[in-house]
Amino acid sequence: MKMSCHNAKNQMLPFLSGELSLAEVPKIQRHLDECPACAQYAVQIEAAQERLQNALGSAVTAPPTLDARVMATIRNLPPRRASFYKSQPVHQALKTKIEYSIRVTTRNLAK
Amino acid sequence: MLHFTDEELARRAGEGHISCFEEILSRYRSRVFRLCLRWAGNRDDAEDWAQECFVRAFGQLGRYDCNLPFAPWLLRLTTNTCINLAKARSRHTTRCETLDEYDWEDEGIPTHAPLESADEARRVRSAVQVLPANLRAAILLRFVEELSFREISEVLGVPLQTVVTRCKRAVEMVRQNFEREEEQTRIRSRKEVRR
Repeated sequence: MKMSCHNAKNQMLPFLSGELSLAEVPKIQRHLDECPACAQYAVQIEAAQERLQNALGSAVTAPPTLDARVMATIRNLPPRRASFYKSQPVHQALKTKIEYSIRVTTRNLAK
Repeated sequence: MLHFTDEELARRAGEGHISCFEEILSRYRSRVFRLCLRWAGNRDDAEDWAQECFVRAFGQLGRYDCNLPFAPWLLRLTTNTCINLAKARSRHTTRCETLDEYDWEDEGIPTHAPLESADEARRVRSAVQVLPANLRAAILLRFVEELSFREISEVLGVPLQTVVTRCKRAVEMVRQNFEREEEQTRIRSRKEVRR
């Protein structure tokens, strides 16, 4: 089955970068051989990608102060707040829960 | 420490071993900073944003599943943090201010590079800066981090075809931007010739 221009354009980026599935490669290749508009589109997209690569892909190193800033912030963070039940022994948490249930039940019975 | 995998380091850092987080920082500092720089557009903001990303990562290590690879988790957190910080900044500053704050000599362009290539890089970055956030996220992971489409899909948590479509739309928008600029330059030079 022939590939449409719409599908060829949708698959152009992975085709150009060699990430398209092997089954799709001959289909798009055949389409590009037969369709001058899509062949031109491929050239334009490749050129645009090259410009993007040159402008964005340049080597950049992090400033030497970054590590010290991050670690200072982390060391000054307040200790993490554990949840109420995690912050005390199980039997204590259970005791508190039972006492609360008794208080609520007693109040309801008194009404 | 050096023999630990990223995932082991993240697990141990989540348990409170600060020195393990220091090792994560040393492994990922440049990758995170580079991504922040392309989102922020200037080194000062990028350093603040990278700091914010690492501090958030430290705070969220408890939610990290160490059975999954660490790099996509950190890059996703970095991308989301940058999107939020960019939104917050745009409320306070105008777009022109942020685009004009580039420090070209510090951005990987050698000082001896021809003026045209520095200008070209500036125009490309400006075109990327005005892309919608979801397209920008995909294109920056593609060209700054040099990830494959499958890796970007893992980082962003969206289907592979969605990533391909976003990158295609972004590249097309940037290309149209170049064409508009070139057309304007042609018109301007024609006017100058007539004078």
